[in-house]
Amino acid sequence: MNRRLTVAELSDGVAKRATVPVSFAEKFVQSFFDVVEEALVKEKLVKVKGLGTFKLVDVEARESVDVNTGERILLAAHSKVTFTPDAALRDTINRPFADFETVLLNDETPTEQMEALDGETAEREVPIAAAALAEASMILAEEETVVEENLPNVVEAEVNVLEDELEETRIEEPRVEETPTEVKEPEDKEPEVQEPKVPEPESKELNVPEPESKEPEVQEPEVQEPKVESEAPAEETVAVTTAESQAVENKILETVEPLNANNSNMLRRTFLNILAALVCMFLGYATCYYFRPFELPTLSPASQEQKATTIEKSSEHDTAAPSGTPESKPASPSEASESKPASSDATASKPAKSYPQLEGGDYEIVGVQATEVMSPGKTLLNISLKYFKSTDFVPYICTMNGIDNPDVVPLNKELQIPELKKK
Amino acid sequence: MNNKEFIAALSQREGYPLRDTKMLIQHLIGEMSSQLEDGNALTIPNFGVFEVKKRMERVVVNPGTGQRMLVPPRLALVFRASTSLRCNTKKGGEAK
Repeated sequence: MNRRLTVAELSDGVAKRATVPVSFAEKFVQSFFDVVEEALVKEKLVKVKGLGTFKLVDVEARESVDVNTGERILLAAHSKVTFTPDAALRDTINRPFADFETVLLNDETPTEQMEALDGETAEREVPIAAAALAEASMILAEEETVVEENLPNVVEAEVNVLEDELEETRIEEPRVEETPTEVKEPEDKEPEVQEPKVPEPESKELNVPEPESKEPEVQEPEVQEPKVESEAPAEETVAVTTAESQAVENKILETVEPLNANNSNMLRRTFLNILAALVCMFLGYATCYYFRPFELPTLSPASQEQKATTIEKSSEHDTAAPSGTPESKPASPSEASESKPASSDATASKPAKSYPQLEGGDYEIVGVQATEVMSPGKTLLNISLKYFKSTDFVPYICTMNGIDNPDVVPLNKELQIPELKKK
Repeated sequence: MNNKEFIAALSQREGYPLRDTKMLIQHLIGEMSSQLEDGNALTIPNFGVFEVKKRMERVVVNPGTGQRMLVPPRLALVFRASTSLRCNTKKGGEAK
C-alpha cells in the first residue's frame, strides 16, 4: 500500500500473469511506454484501451513573474502531456468511494444546511426572550420582597438562571397546592395581616409583635400564612412565564421537526438530554433545599415545648432577649433597640417560622437577631464580622436568607441576621 | 493513434504477433490497475508516474441556477510526465 513500484516490480507481476520470463516482461513493459512516447511525439494522441488517453496539449505563451528577481518574463508556448484514464480504469480506482457517487446528495444538502442554521438561530432567540421574561419576573419578585422579606427562596430563584427558574416552578407548583391545605385559617384574614406591612416595610419587626401580643396562639399560623400567600402569586407569574417560554420551546421543536430526519433527531435528542439533565439536577437540589427546613419543626416535638416556654418568657419580659446565643452582640445602639424586639419576636415566633438550618454546621439557627440592608460597600464577610466577630458565619447568613451564591447578593436586599445556638 | 494502431506499432517494434501483443498489453494494464487500486504508485523511468490521489469532497455552485451541490470525495488516477518525456514532447509539440 502506498509504495512506489518500479518497472521491475511491475514486470514481475506481468510475468506471473502472462507466464512469461521476467526479463521478457521487463523488456515488453519498457517498449510499451517507449511506443507511447514515440506515438505521442508523432501524433499528439495515443489511446490505449483499458488504460486511457495520452494527449499532447498546446500551451500558449504567457507572461509570468520570475519568483526570485520579480522580473516579468515570457513563458514560451509549449505542449504538455495530459493523461485521461479510461472510464473502466477510473471506476476501478475509485471503487472505495464508488457508493459516494451513487448517493449524490446534491440538491438536498444546501437546503438541509440552511434549515439547520435557521434552527440554531431560533434556538438562540429563546434565551433572549426568556431572559426578558426572567427580568420581568425579577421585578415582580423584588416588589414582593419589599412587602415581604419572607420569601428568600423565590427571590433567589429569580436571580438564578432561567433553567433553574423553569424547573423550580415545576417543583414548587405542587407545593403551593399543599400549603393551603395545611393552613386552615380563612383567607379573608390574610390581607389584613399583609396590609399593615405594605406602607412601612422597614418596621416589619415591630409590626409582627402586635398580633402576637393580641393573640399569641393564633399568631403561629398567621405569620406563616402571608408567606404562603405572597409566595403563591410570585410563583404564578413565574409559572405563566415558564408556560410562555415552554410554548416558545415547543414552537422551536415544531420548526425543527420538518428538518431532515437525521438532523432533527440529533438536535432534539441533544436538547432533550440537556433538559433532562437540568431537571434531574434541579430536582435533587430542590428536594434537599425545601424539605429539610419544613421537616424540622414537625419532627421535633421538643421544639414545640420550647415554643410554649419561650412564648411565656416573651410575654413576661418583652424586651429581654434570650441569652442563649453568646455571639449575638448588637454592634450599634441604634440597632440594639431594633434587634431586641426583633429577637424576642423571632424567638416567640420561632416554632411558627421554621428557620432553614445549615447542614453540618456547629450552630443551629434559632431566630433573627437583626436585619441588615445590603448597601454598597457591605459584604457578607463584613456583616458576619460585625455580628459574630468572625467571618466564619457567612454560610449561616446565606442559609438564613437563601443566598445561593455568596458572591452575588442583590443591592438593597434585606438580610436577616440569624441568631445562633451551639448544637 | 488509436488502440489498434498502437498495438500494431508495438508488435512491429517487438516482433511479436498481434495476438500475443494484445494479450501482453492486457496483462500489463491489468497488473497496473490492480497495483494502482491498492494505492501504489507506478514509477516508469523516462516516462512518468502513475499514482492515485484522493480528491476531497467539495461544494460547487452551478453558476446558472445558483444551485449548490456537494461533490463527493473520489480517488483519481493522475499521471505526471517525467522531465525527459516533457522535454521530448515539448520539442515534438513545437515541431508539429
